Amino acid sequence: MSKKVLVVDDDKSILMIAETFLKGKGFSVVTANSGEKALKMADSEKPDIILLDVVMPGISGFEVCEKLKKNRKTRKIKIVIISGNIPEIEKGFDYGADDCIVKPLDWNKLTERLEDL
Amino acid sequence: MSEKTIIANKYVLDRLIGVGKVAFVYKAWDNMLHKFIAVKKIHEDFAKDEKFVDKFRKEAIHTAKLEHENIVRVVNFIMEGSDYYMIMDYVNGVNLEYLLMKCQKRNIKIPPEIAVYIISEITKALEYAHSLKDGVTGEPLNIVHRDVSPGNIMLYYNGKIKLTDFGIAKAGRDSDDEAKDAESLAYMSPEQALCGEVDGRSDLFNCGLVLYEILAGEKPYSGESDIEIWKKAKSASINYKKLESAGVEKELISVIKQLLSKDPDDRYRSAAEMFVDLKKFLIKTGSTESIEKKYHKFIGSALREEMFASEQEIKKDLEKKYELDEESELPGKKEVSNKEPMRIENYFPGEESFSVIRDKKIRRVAALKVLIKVAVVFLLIGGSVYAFFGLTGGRRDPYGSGVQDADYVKKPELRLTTSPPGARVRILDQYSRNILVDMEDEPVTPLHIQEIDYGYYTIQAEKEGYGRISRRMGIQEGFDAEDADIDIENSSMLGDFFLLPFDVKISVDSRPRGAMLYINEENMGRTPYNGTHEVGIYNFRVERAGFEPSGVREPDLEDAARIRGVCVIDTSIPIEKQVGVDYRFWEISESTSTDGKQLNITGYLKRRN
Repeated sequence: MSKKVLVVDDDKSILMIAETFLKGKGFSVVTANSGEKALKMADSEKPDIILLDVVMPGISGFEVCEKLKKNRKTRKIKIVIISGNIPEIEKGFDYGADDCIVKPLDWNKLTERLEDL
Repeated sequence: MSEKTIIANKYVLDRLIGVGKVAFVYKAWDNMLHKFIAVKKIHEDFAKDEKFVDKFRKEAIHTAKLEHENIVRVVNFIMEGSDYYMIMDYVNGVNLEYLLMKCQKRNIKIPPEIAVYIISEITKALEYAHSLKDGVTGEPLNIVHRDVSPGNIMLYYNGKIKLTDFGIAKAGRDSDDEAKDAESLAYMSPEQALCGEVDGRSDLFNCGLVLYEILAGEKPYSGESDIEIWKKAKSASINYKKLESAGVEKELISVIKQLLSKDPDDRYRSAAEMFVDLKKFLIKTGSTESIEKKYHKFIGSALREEMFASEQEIKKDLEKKYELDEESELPGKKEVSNKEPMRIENYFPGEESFSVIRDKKIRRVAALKVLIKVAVVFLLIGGSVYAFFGLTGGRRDPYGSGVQDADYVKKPELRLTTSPPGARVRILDQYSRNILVDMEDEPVTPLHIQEIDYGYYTIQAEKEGYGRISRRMGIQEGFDAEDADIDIENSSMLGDFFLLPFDVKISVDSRPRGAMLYINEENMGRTPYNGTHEVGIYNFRVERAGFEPSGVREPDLEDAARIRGVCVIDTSIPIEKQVGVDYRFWEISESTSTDGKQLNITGYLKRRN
């Protein structure tokens, strides 16, 4: 059974690319373009992994991460943050992220990381 | 009043604290901001090299833009006369090279998480520097450190970890003149060894080498000759079995392998990517205690003596700063008189990357295994006429006229003695040329050199039955001899790479007897105790149930500044020079004979009320 990935990014083009690429690699993919939607979908879709951009308008990726990790229902979901610099990466891990993918995205590497989780 | 060199009317040079290939490093007082800073002065030879100075200046401009908590700040670059100075933050700590050396000597294994933490902090500095853009044009500055090595990783006593010497490395080591000595080769990426183009991934490779060294306890590249090391460096020939036998986890070895990939394309793409894997390792090995706390504990334990010495030094410096304030009110230009002030200090071979910022006592600590103490006695230059008897082949005429000029300033005089005397000495200048003294290439101590050029030298001394010592020494003008604080017998700051242990017999007793003795917090059993220890700094403590330290004499004013009950002894220096002993509680005597040195220490206890 393929892993289900929730991709969260406010950039719709990234969501499209991620969906296409990850589906091609055998993942089941759902997407959300805001932190608010991500919180709802994490509960309803029960993904195995959330690929989460940390910089988003509204609820940031960090907050999403923290809330999901504090919630008994969602705490086991593996969260992979997408970040571009070390201060963000540190903050992401502090908020409970399980892994991090560094921008610019290397899609092949991303796939390997998701498969390893 | 002592004469001081004042730069830009505000930086008062206090004392020399390091000598490297291209610069002297001084501790100095900033009279405007009222704080200590570090000043790097380019060696005269390099200062004459326009190409070098231009690169140095350009890199200083770039480096000054680096404002990051993991980077030692460059605050100014000054040209004064024919001298060039870089003003930097003063580092109250030691470099990683020193920590590695100390841990190796004391058989202390640096835990993998501590090693990873140190490198992860350096990674933050690299990520910042690699991605920095020009504030005006927005163009990437493409700053590459090029010399990430243990000598440039500074460990502050307060727990901060910083990278130093950004850009200087580039100025001093451009792609067309990469340094090819063994020390430099040991930390080179393949592209550096092949004089190719380097980018930030070369710095990541260097980080991998440092991480390897911390974990394996030895440098990744070693060999009988520079060529052999260079061959290994260019092909990234690494023996990972050393890491396996050192018990390093597979995940961490895999991180190191990626860092040390020969092809930059196979390495991490950026410092941020590298950081992710280091952080994941730290999280995985983490416990309830944060890694920062673990690191603090480790450093506090491994560098306990140095921290103690530093505290003493700070007290001294705080008293001194008023004097420096006063000095700095003098006219800005250095005053050169016929009593040309000079100062001699020395440094470790490991400090050749000229980045070591370490106070005198810390260096003393690093010279624990000194066998022969070279005493360098320096004298102020007098106006009298000296006979031809010189290190440099006779008296030097600074004006090159060959005629004794009325303003002629005589070069410093140097005396070298060893204890015991009779050691054969070799003196090598900065180009590794053997200097003849009295037409002999290996003169015997004690020896007297009537005139010596300013510069830096390697002094090697050898005597049958004793270990060889190799010591670096910088001789620089601009310091008052009386203020130089260069009691060499006291400081004994010798290179210690070739030394054999010099043992001191130590007897410890207590009144009453039967107290538990702790040396460096290791339980040594009950007093009386007799043992033989290598030269070093030791912390003694006696404890007996129902007893407490007892004053054996009335405290005086001086005692008020001492820490009650403390007995920290540096066995490499005479007892009258000890600063870590509470004499109200401890009695110490020493004797020296052909058998070596004997220390007798007694701690007094009284029954607790």
